[in-house]
Amino acid sequence: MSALERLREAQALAAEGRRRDIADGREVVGTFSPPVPPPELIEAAGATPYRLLENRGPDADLRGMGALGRDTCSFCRSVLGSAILDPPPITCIASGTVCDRLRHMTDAWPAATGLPLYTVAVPRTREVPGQVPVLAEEFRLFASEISSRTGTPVTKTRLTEAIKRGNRCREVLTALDELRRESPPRLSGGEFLDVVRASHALSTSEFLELADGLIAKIRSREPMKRRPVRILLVGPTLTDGDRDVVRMAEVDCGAAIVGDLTDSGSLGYGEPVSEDRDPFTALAEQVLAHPILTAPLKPSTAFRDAFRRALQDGRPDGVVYRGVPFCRPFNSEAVPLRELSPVPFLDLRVEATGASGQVRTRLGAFLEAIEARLHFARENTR
Amino acid sequence: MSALERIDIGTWQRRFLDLDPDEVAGVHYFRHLGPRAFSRYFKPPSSFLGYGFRRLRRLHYDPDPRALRLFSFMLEEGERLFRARQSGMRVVGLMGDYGAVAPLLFAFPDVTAFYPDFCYWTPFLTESEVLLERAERRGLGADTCYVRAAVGAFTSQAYWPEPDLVAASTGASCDDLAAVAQVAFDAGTKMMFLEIPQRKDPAPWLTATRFISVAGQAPRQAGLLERLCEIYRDFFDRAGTALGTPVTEDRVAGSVARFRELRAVIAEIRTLVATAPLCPLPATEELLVQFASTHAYGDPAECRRILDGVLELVRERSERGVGFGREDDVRLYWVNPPPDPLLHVHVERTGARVVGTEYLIASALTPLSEGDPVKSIARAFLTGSLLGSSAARSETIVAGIRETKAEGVVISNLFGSSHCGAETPVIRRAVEEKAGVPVLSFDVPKPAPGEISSQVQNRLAAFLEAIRARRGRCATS
Repeated sequence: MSALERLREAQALAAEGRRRDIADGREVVGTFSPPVPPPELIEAAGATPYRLLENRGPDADLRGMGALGRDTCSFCRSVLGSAILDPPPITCIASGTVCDRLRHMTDAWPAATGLPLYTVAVPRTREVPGQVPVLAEEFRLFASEISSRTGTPVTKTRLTEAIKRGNRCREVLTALDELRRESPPRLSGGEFLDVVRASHALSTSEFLELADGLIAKIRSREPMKRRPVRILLVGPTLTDGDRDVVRMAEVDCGAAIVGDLTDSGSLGYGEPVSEDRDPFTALAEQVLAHPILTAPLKPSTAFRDAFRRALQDGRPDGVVYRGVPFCRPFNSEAVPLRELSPVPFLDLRVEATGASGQVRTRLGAFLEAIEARLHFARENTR
Repeated sequence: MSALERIDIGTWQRRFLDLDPDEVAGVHYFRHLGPRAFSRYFKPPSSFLGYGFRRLRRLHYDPDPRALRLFSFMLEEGERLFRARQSGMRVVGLMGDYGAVAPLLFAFPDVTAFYPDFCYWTPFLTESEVLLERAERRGLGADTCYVRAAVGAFTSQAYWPEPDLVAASTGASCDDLAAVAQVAFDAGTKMMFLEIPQRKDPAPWLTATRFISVAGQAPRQAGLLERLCEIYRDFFDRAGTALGTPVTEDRVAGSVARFRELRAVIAEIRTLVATAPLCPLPATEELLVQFASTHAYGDPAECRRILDGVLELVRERSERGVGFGREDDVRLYWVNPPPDPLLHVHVERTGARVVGTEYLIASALTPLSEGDPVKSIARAFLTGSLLGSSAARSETIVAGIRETKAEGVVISNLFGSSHCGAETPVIRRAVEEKAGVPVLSFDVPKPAPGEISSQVQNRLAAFLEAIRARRGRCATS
C-alpha cells in the first residue's frame, strides 16, 4: 500500500480511532476551521483535535436547515445536520468566531447535540491596536478551559512542542504543495486535498508517522504526460461530500488544480508559527496573518495579497472561484478577485451538498475556452 | 376611550396647508447655523414624493403635527447631509454598531452622522430595485441582506455626499455590513474599522472564564468592558486625526449626556406605547422614535425637540384614553425591523397593534448611566443583540413578551441576512417554549409597487385569527 493510500485509509478510519480515544478517557475536541482555535493548543492540553467536515447528504442538510433556517450556508447546515443524524466522535466543540453564520451554527450545537461549546473570539480587523495580545489572551483562556477537562495544564514547553510538530506538518504540506505546482505536476489537486484532509482528521503525531516517506514517493513519480490546464481553486471550506468541483475539473475535464486558496487545501495550517517567541503570542500572530482568516478580516487587503501570491506561485491558466450561497465573507470577495485576476475567472456558487450537472457544464465550457486560448497562443508563438 | 383615525397622504397634504405658516417656517434643522430657508424640514408630503419616496402614497399616518414632523425629519435626512456638507460640517458615516459610536462622534465639533446601514429602507420607500441591482453588480446579490442597498448608494453618491469618514464596526456585528463596508473601502471611501468584541454566554463547563452579571442585563465575560473602552479611546485618536480636530473630555461628557436624555425620552414613549389601553402612537412612528436612539438622525438637538413633542403627544393621549384601533386589538411583539413600513400599516389595519419590539438596536435603547461617559456608553453597548448569542437575544425577546403581555410574535426575516435567518429557529423555539405564545415568521418580500404580497397578507390574517381563537379558548378554559 502506498503512503498516500495509507493516509487515506487512516483518515477514513480516524473516526473509529477517536471513538477508541474517548473510550480510553481521552478528550477529543471537534473544530470547524483550522486556524482557530489552533490545533496546537488542543494537543498541548492533552486532547486530540478532530475537524468536523462530515457531510451526510440531503438528509443532513434538511436537519441543519431545521436548526439554522434555509438561508444559511450549506457548509454550516451540512455539518450540524450530519452531527444530529450521526453524532461525531468528539467530547466537546471549539470554534472561532470567524463569521456570523459559523457563530450561529456553533451556538446551536449544545442544544442540538448536548456537547459543551468553547468559543474563541477572533478579531475581525487589524486596524484596532492591541489585537494580537487580546487574541493571545483568548488563547490562554481557551487553553485553561480545555486543560480543566483533560487535567493537563498547557505549559510553555508542551505548547512549544506542539507548535514544533505543527510546523513539521506544515513543512510536509508545503513540500507537497510545491510538487503540485510543478509543470506538469506530479501530484493532483484531489490527492493533495486528501493529504490535507488526513492532517485534519489525525493527530499531528499520527499524521507525521504516516506521511513519512510520502514526499520522496511523490518526487519519484513520473510527471504527467501532457501539460494540463492549470487551475487555482479559491473559496470556503470543502466538506467531505463536496469534492464535486475538484473531481469534475481533474477527472472529468483533465485539468490540474495546481494551487488553492481554501482551508481544505494548502491553507489548512497556514504559515509556520514562530518557535522562539511566547507561544500564545506566536499563535495569535499566525492566526491574524492566516490567508484564509484574512477574508473576513476588514479591510480584506491581506486576503487579496494572498490571492496575488497564489497567482504568482501557481502560474494558473484560470481561476475557479467555488463559493457557497450565503457565505458572506467569501462571496463578497468574488468580484474584487475577478478584477484582480489576469487570467480567466469562473465564479461558481455550489451548495456543499454537491454540484449539479449545470456546474459541470459551466466548468467544462470554461476549461475548454482556456484550452482553446492556450492552443491559439501556442500556434501564434510558432 | 375614543379612537383616532390614521390619515392617508392626501389628508396629510391638505392638513399641512392648514398649519400656521409661521409655525412651519420656524422649524429648522442644524439651528446652530441660524435659521436658513434650506434648513426647513417640515414640508408637505408632496415634497417627499418628489424625493422619490413613492411608498408614502400607500401608508397611513398619525395625524398630529408633532408626529408628522418626526416623519418629515426622518425623510429629510439625505437632503440634510448634503446641506451639512455645503455648510462646512463634516459628514461621518457609521456602520454596524448601534448606540455607541454616534454619541462619541457628536463630541467632535461641526459633525453630523448617518448610518448607511439604514439604507435598507430606501428600496422599499422608493419602490425601486435600482440600489439592489447596483449591489448585485458588486457581488452582493439576493443571498445578502437588504442592507446591500447601501452599496448602490455608496457607488452612486446621490443618496449622501462623499463622507469625510466612515467608522465601520466589524467583529461581532454583521457580516453583510462588513461586506458593504469593504465595497465602500474599495471605492475609495475614507474608512476606519472598529472592532466589536463578542459577548459570550456563561455555561456550566466554562470554569476558567469569569463572568460578570448585572441585574436585568445579559452576563458578560470579565475584561470585555475594559476592552471596549480601549477601542473607543482609540476611536477618539483616529477620528480626531481623520477629522483634523481633537476632542475634549467636556465635549464627550456633554454629548453622552444629550444621548442619555434622549434615551430616557424614548424609553418613556416606548413604555406608554406598550401599556396604554389604546395604542397612542402607530408602529411606524414608534419605529422612527426608536431609531432616533442610534444617531438622532444626524441632529441631536433638533431630534430632542421633536421627541419631546412626541412624548407630550403620547402622554396626552394616554391620560385622555385616546388612541388608535380598539382595546381588543391583538397585541404583537415584532422581531427584526421591517424594511417595508407598509407591513406595520397592514397589521394595524387588520386589528392588531405592536406593543413590543426587538429591532436589533437594543444597545442604543439601554439607559446610559452617570459617571465616566465612555464607560457608560460601553456598558450600555454590551447589552446589545448583535454582539451576543442567539440564545441571549431570545431571552431578551421572551422577557419583552412577558413585560408587554404580547399575544403573538411576528418575525420579519430579511432573506439572506447573517442574523435574521439563522436566529429565527432559535427564537421561535425559545418563544414557544418559554413564553408560550405563537410565532409567525416570514421573509419580507422584495420591494415592489403596490400592496404587500397576498401570501404575506394571508399568513398575517390567519395568524391574527388564530390568536383571537386562542383568546376564546383561554377564556373558556
